[in-house]
Amino acid sequence: MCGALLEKGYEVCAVDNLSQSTPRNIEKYFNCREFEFVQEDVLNEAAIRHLAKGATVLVHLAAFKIPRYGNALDTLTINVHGTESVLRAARERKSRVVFASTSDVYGKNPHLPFTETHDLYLGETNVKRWAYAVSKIMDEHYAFAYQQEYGVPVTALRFFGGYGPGQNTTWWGGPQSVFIDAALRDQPMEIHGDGQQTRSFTYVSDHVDGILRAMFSPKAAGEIFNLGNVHEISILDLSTLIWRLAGKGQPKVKLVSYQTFGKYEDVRNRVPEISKARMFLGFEPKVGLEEGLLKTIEWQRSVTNFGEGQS
Amino acid sequence: MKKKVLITGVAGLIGSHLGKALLESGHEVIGVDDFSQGARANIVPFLNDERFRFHHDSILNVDRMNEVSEGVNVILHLAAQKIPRYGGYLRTLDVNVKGTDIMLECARRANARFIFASTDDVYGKGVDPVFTEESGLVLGESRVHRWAAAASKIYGEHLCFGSAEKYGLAVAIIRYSGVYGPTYQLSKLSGAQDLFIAAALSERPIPIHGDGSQTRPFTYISDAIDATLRVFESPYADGEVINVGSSAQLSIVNLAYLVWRLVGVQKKPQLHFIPYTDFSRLYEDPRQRRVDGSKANYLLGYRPRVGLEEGMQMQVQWFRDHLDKIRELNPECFQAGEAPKS
Repeated sequence: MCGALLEKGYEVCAVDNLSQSTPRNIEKYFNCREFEFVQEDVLNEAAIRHLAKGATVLVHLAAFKIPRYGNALDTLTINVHGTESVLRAARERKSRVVFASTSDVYGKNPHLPFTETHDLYLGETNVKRWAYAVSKIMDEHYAFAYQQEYGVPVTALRFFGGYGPGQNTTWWGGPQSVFIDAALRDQPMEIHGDGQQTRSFTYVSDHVDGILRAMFSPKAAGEIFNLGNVHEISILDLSTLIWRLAGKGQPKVKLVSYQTFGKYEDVRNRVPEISKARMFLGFEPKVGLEEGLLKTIEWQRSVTNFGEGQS
Repeated sequence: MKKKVLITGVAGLIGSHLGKALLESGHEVIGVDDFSQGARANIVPFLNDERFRFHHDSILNVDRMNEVSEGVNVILHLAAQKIPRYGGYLRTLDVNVKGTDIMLECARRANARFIFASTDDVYGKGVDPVFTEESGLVLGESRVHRWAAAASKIYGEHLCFGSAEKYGLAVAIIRYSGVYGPTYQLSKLSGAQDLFIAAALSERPIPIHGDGSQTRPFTYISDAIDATLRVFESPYADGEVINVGSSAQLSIVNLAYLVWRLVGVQKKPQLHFIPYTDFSRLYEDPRQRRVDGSKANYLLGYRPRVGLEEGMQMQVQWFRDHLDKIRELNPECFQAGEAPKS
């Protein structure tokens, strides 16, 4: 996002608490006059309000996730409070808000592909994997409430499986991150369940293109858009594809039962229908999976430390 | 053992009856209500009870909540906002989301057990013919405000389980289904039957949203209180979600007929159908809702006792006996043109 915006001549104020990311991803902009980086937490309302001064658009991507590894409460509260903090700043600064929701909100909905009007099909509330989807659904409601009551123009973007250079290289980044890591280290790839669950993966430049279009489209206010690549692939196929693209021999796969997560439910299939983003925003994903994965593998190879005991 | 209990939303339908029942069992009750939905008249009967202390305040007032929850053994968190389709979208979210967050924090400080009032509305457009506690929770589009209340209750349940996980808090979640009974507050909150009775008593047409074929469960307050006390008393309920309702369910049109007949209006029932599009863009109403009560039955020994016709008869009688006061407190429900919830 930063690179694309600076290239177009915008001023960028970037905020991150660096809890899940690394300054390495933005180092190259540090010398740019139109770029300012502030290490701050989105939960710090006063700081966000201060930084939002003069901002035409607030792009809110900060979030907490993966409640299945604990932290269901943090996932719930950080996401909702963080989004509110941004919405309050936008209200005061008269800015637009474009924020990241997730394809996970469609949950177990069996009707594929998902359009934006599809029902949000959640499992039991004592299965904490749903805490992330629930937090994002609340974010969407808060955003639309701010638009209705205070006139803050908001756009919710439901991302489908973002990946690419700069991704978090652990589970936080998604399955491709850990598969690439395993392949590069020649270690078995951990696959949850039977690996037949399918997902769609969207290369980062396509997501960035979608966000930019939403930021500057007059038609995007008050809307939800799916942003994703419609190509569907099973997790098992993804792992073997990554192994092959990494130039390794026979794939090493280790199936991990869902039972190890406690009470858990996975989403079986997840594919976006993107006609709305096409019609409203002219959005069209351009980078195919193999092409995107090759770039990502190359990048991840360059940032991975293969030394003893490193991750 | 006598306990010190905090009830939020004590002036609401369930809160007021629960407060009375707990006081009768000898517990000490601290009640909180801001009267945004509840009515002062509902708690007047025990307002002077020496074991009852009332705080007229909002659950969003953090400092005050920390104060009043000091030393309590149990928090029954019933305060909530509903039905954002009538406006107050953001307030609904704040009360349900932040309010629950605040009360859970109080429970953590006081090391109190937390009983959370959720609703069968969380099943939303669920596809199961009968909703058990394991059923999927299906929400419509986030742009439809109607879903904000259900979403905020699902979020509240997750907050409870999240707090249980992180802090070891004892939490129990009750999903109430269509509870009705004596109350002075005929808000849209207390369900369709009260507004139907008010209409029938003034011989006005009963306003019905949609075609009225949508079905809903109806649970008489004494049953809901019985179940709540079982949850209150039983450790079995910790960490559980429990449906509390009754198998009695009927369509909104049949409810209107029943009410009309029980009121005894001397002419043919008059129904006034209001299309959904009149009050909300993109509005969706779940078609049918049947809730399975086996878990409450087997786990807690709860069985609803009051039949639909019997309960509605008592409700009509309550109206007749308190008509002046009810009319005085809810003038809008006795005038033409009001669109109640159905």
